[in-house]
Parts: sequence; structure tokens; C-alpha cells
Amino acid sequence: MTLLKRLLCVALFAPFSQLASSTELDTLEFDSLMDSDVQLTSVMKRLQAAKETGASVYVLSSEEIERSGASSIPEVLNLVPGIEARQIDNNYWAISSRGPASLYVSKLLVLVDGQSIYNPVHAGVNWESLNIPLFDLERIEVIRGPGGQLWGSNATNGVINIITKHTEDTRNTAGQVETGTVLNYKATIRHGGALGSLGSYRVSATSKDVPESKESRYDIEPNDSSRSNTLNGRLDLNLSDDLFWLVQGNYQSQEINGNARVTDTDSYSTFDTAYRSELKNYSLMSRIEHSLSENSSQMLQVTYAYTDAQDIYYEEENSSLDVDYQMNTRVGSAQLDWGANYRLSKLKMADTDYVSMLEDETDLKQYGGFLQAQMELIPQALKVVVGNKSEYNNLTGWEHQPMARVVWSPTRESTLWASASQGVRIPSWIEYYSQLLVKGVALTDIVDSEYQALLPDELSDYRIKRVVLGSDNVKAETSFSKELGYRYHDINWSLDLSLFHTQSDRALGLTTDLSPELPASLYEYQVANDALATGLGFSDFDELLALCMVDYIQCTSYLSQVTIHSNLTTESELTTYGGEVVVKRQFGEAITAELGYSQTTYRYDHPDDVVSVVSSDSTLKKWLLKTSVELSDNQTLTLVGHYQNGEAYSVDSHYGLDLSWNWQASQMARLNLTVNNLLHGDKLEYANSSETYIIPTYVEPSFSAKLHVLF
Amino acid sequence: MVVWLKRTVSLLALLLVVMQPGYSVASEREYAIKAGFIYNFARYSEGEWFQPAHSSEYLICSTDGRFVEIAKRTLKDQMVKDRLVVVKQIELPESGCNSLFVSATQEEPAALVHSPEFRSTMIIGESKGFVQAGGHLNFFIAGGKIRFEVSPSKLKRAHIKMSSKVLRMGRTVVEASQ
Repeated sequence: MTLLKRLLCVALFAPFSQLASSTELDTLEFDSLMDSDVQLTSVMKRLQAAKETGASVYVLSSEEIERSGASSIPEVLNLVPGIEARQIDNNYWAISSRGPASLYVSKLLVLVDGQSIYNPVHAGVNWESLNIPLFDLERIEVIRGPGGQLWGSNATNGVINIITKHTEDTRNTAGQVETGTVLNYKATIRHGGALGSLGSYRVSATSKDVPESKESRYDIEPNDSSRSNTLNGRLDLNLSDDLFWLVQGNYQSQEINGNARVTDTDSYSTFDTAYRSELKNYSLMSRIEHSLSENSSQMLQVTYAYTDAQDIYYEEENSSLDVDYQMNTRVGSAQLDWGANYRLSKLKMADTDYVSMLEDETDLKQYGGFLQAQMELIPQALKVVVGNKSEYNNLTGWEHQPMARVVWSPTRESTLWASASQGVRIPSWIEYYSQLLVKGVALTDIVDSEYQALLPDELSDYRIKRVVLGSDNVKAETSFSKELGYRYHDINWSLDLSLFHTQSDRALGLTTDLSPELPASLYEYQVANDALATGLGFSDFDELLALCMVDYIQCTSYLSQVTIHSNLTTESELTTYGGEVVVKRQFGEAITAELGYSQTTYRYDHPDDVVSVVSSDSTLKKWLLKTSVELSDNQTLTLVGHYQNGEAYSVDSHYGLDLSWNWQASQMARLNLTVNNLLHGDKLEYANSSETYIIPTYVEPSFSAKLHVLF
Repeated sequence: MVVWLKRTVSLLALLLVVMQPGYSVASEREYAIKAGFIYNFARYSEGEWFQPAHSSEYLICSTDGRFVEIAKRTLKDQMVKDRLVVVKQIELPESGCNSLFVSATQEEPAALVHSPEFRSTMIIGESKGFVQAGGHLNFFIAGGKIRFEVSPSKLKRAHIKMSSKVLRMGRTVVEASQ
């Protein structure tokens, strides 16, 4: 019997064996006990104890989220060292980890209570649609670096696990109103209650209205206002002491305005225009968690999500059905986790002037399984974790994500860990099946400046049509990562250091060609004009120049048919390396300070004639200083200072300061006043216009007030 | 599509068969967490039920030997109001206990709860209806974590004033007459 079969047999039958368990608790603090899972096995793929994990992790508590004064998830993520969160305008964000932030390609897997919110159309996250009441968040766990083995594909750069509070802990009615200079209002009402001894529930409704910014890039009036209405609901049922059923749903309707730089379909030049996009989405998740024994548990989760979005560039309608099963078992001093998943996404994109589909294919299927074993070679001191996730998708076939980690805790306070893993990013729908009309290429851009004077006057402003073409030759990007980390925890201070090196094959790039190719008859003109050609070093485009010089009619006839294709290709390599360091110190009972620094360098190695799609070689640097001061029993002040360089985003480096004051006025009411982006004037955070058509706006210093009331 | 649907239904049916409640004995970890909670209930309470000036220790009692053994390990060297926490197994009701834990294995918990010896004792259970039967607090599991019900009025009658921070985190049980 092979080792794999033996492991599977043990996994299936182990629940009924008598096994040892650890009763040691890290702390007896009340809040920590409220947060402690009865079982050591983690059914929800949650971090049991961040300091024991062989990965670069960071946890934001509900208290820190509340004190920050943030009003959205992207703003909260800006508090995490190593996360690149760039505001594009008042609605859109580009967010990533260990790599350049991008609106569409983040290589981040984002989960809300175990439900993936990945958009298969562009393989990214619709951050603007993530509208959960922040006061109902239990915590946010961030894993910087590959999380594919346990969490799934497209987690090569990290995992963000957003966990909301159990409804047992929100059995009251709460209301929150926020307003400010960049927020007309955001009003949330939430009611939670008990269902006798059967369980508990909560429902919430949020309405949000965002004004335009004051200044836009380019010479256009800002238009980045938006309105959204969201309903959320959750039900937790205790079917028995061992069987729990969670049902969660949400519905959202949004109207998002903005400015876009789009391509004229006749002249292929660009113009700036206001647009309005409308989005509707809803999702429903059901999860059953079952404790099989003291040392074993299983979970079955089924999720359905639907999105209908229309904007100036595209119209999409997509739905996804996800089925996930997982079992976790302790066998002696080892823990075995295994699971299977299936996802079916149905995608419909209507052709627009700018985006059209090359195939009628509408289905994206994925299925696979994972197996992970954790073994304590020396109890409480040395742990080894090995595992693999294999997943099939109908675009690129089978993909595998093996992983090995070692965690060594020589003392109670310190932990050294190392890992090697392979992650996979499967192409998005857009990369595979779409054609995207972009800004045309001016003849004056491709003809050597020395010869531009030879162009007929009528063609001096001419632009050749250009499209970005997806292709079924696009392969999955595979990344091999090596990481090393060290953690030290004392009563008053802690240190967390992570270093990484990632080598990616089949990174996304662009090649260019003409279609149709230049006619063979063109060569006649080269021969006939050999005297002109001599010494000028003609290339393909120069032959075109020659054609246009001597036969204007044939030249314009050809130009009207030709298209420059920028073909997506996966022939490049990408090397990324860097690290994060976070030092946290407690000064007495009232002051906590944290200093974080992260640096990521990425270098592309493109074959000849291939260029980058998302950003080019760069180094990202971010300093983050956070201080929280308890001014009194019911007042806190939080300061967040940051410095980030901007070369990767075509903007200046910037620094800023955020101040947030919290006052628990009574048991029922809490007031928060926050100022953001002090110390600098208006700034652009993201200006990679080649990557997104959205015209960014200037992020300005702002003020907000928030009142939270319990009824 | 049909084949996929058949496979999914089969898998769900199999899992429904497997997901029969079959595990109901409290685990060691569960008892350790509950011991931690009992300790915190005492830490965050004031009142006549425990007078440090007249006691050399804070005594937690239970008839369940397994719980006592785990609680002794978990609460070793812990202090409540500068008094060392001691965990003791009892066979019959006896005076002197500051907290009493009544496990689900206890037969006739109501009789134990109403014993005159426990008139000024903080009484915590882990069975359905325990608070309604006379207990002050009762543990239950929600979403894999320990939560509790609490009767502020019963605590008050036992001269125990519990911190509002703790009361807020529990599920308040209102007495039928209120």
C-alpha cells in the first residue's frame, strides 16, 4: 500500500481512535478565552495561533480596526505592513502583497468567512463592492506570501481572511452613522438576536453616499461619486453540541461614477469622458461544521454568488457555485487535513465597443483536493508541515501546489520558520478569451523621428488600431517561493521578521505584431526605391513608411485594415524578493507602538519583443508607524504614520499621518473623529494609466466623524 | 451537468449520514477553557460572596473528578483578589465553596444547586436549562467556541456583582416572573 493510501486510510478512520490532546492554553485572559476554539483542529482554515504558524502572518483585531477610524476594508488593509493598498479614486483601490498593486491582477485570495470573493472575469477582487459593517468584524488575518496549498489558486502573493463575529456575540441592535469630507454619509443599522437555544442571527443594512474628489488627473472635472445599498444577514444554528450550521447572505446594489480615458472607435485616439457603472451582486453561503470527536472535525460549505455589472468598458454577468469539503484530524502528535473542492463559474460578457469575446465559451470549471500533514517531531518545539493541493481547471488543466514548512521554537518566546512552496495563478477570463480596444498607435510613434518628415501631411496624426488580445496559449503562472522567518514574543515587546524569494515562470507579458502582415507586394516598393532605402536601415514599419510615401492610396487602404495586436503571452520570468519586519512594544498599560517596514523588489526577464503588462521592474518600500494611546478609561488616540515610495505607480513618494480619536461616551455610545493624510497636500497614489482606463483623482487630507450607538 | 449533479447529491447524502451527532463528552481542552472562564467570572466580580479578608484561598468545587484534575492544571498559581485559586472535588454539598461547577454528568443538578450550603456560591453549569433550574451561569458551545448564559438577578440574590463587561458578553436569561 502506498504512503498516500495509508495516510488516507488513517484520515478516514482516525476520528474514532482515542488520542491525546493538549489542554494548555496560551493565556487565561477573558477576551482570549472568548476567542478560543474548543477544538485544536482548525475547520475554517483559520490561524489557531499566529505565532506558531510557519508563514508571514499579521492579524488585525476588532479593537484595532475600531480604533483606526477606517470606514472601509481597503482603508483597514492599509494598516498592515507589507500590504500595498493604493487608492485610485474615491471608489477604486489597487491592493496586493509582495508585488505591485493592480486594479485587476492582485494574486491575492480574499475570503469573507471562508467564502472566496474572487472575480473570475479579471482574476481580481472588486474591493469597491466589499461592504461589511466594520464593527461586526472579529478580525482580519493576512498571510503575506503563498497560500495556495491550503487556500487555493491565485493566492501566490497572499491570503486575506476576513472573519466576522459570530452572531452569538452581536445579539443587540446597533446603529452607526459616518460622515466627512470624502464621505457624504454611511449609515448602518444592525439587529441581532437569539433564536432560543437553537442559535442566533443578525441582519444589517447599509447605505453609503460618496462625493466627488476635488481634483482629477488630466483636465477633467472629477466625477468619482457613488451610491450603494447593502443588505447582509447571518444565521448560526447549534443543531447539537457537535453540529453547527452557518447560513450567510448578502445583496448589494451600487452606482459608481468616474472618469475614463477611452479610445475613439474611429480615430483610435483617446478622449476623457465621464461614465456611470451599475453593479448588482448577491451571494448565499451555507456551511455545516461537525465535530466528529475530540480530535477530529469536518466541514461542508456551499456558496453561490452572482454579479451583474455594466460600465463604459464592459458588461458582465457571472455566477459561481463553490462546494468545499474539509476534514481535520489529530493522529497522535500529528495533524492531518484533507479536503476537496469544486467550482463552476458561468460567465457572460456582452460585446461592447471596447471589449469583445473571442469565443463563446462561458464555463470555468475547477476541481481538486488538498492533503496536509503536520507532525511534531519534538513536542512544542519542532514541527514539520508538508502538503499539496492539486486542482484542475478547464483553461490550463491540472496545476499542483506542493508545500513544506518547518517551525522550530527553541524557547517559549522565539520561533524560527522556513518554507518552500509552489503557487499557481491561473489566467483570468479576460486574459484567455477577450479582445480589448486600447489607444491606437500613432504613425509618428513607430516611424523613426528622423523620417517622420517624409510622411504625407494627411497621415501625421494617423493612429493605427490596437487591441490587446487574450489567447488560449496563456499558461498558468507558477511561482516557487522560499521563505525564512523569525518571531520573538515577550511580555512587553515582539519582533516579526520575514524574508522571501520567489521565482515565477510564465509571468504575463505582451508581444506585438501586425495583422494582417504587410503585403508581400510592399517589397516591390523597397526594391524600386532601393536608392532611398540604402543606408536608412528599414524595418517592417519603415517599409510601411516607404509604401505611404510612394502610393498613398494603397497605404491608406492597408492602414484601414491593419490592427496592431498586443498579444498576452506567458513566456517571461519574474524574480521577486524582499521582506517584512514588524516590531511592537508595549509602554506601560496605556501606550502601544508598532513600527513596520516592508520592501519588495521585482525584476522581469522578458524574451526579446516582450514587455510587461503590470508595472515594470521596481522596488516597493513602505514604512508604517502605529501608536495607540489610552488617554483615559474611555478615550484612545491612534496615530498612523506612513511613508511609501511611488516609482512603481508613476507617482511621487509620499508620507502622511492619520489621527483617530475614540471616545466611549457611555456604555451605549461611541464617538470617533479621524483625520487622514495630514502633512502633505493632495496627491496621486496610483497613476499607471496603461493598466487601467480609470482616471485617478487626487487623494486629499480629509476629516470624518463616526457615531456608534447600541440600542 | 447531470453527472455532476448526481455526484454532488451522492456526496451530500453520504455526508448527511456521516454527520450524526456522536461525540458529546466534553474534551479536556473544553474543560480547560471552562475552568478559565470560571476563574474570570470570579476575577470580574465583587460582593459578599467572597471576602478575601476572611479567606486564605478562592475555592472552586466540583463533583466531576475529571474537571477538577484539568482545572487544577489550568489554574495552577492563579490568584483571585490576592488569594490563591484552589480546585477541589466534593462528593456532597459542603459550605466554603466560592464557585461550584456542575458538569453535565451530574445527576439531578437542580438538587445540588438548591443546597443551602451553596447559598453564597457562584454556581456554573453546562446543561440545557441549568440557569432556569437555579444556576447562575451556564456554558454552551456556539460555532466551536464556549459561550455562556447568565442570570444577573440570581447572581444578585447570591450577593455577587459581576462586571458589566462580562455580563455583556453573555446571554442574559430573564426570570419568568420579570
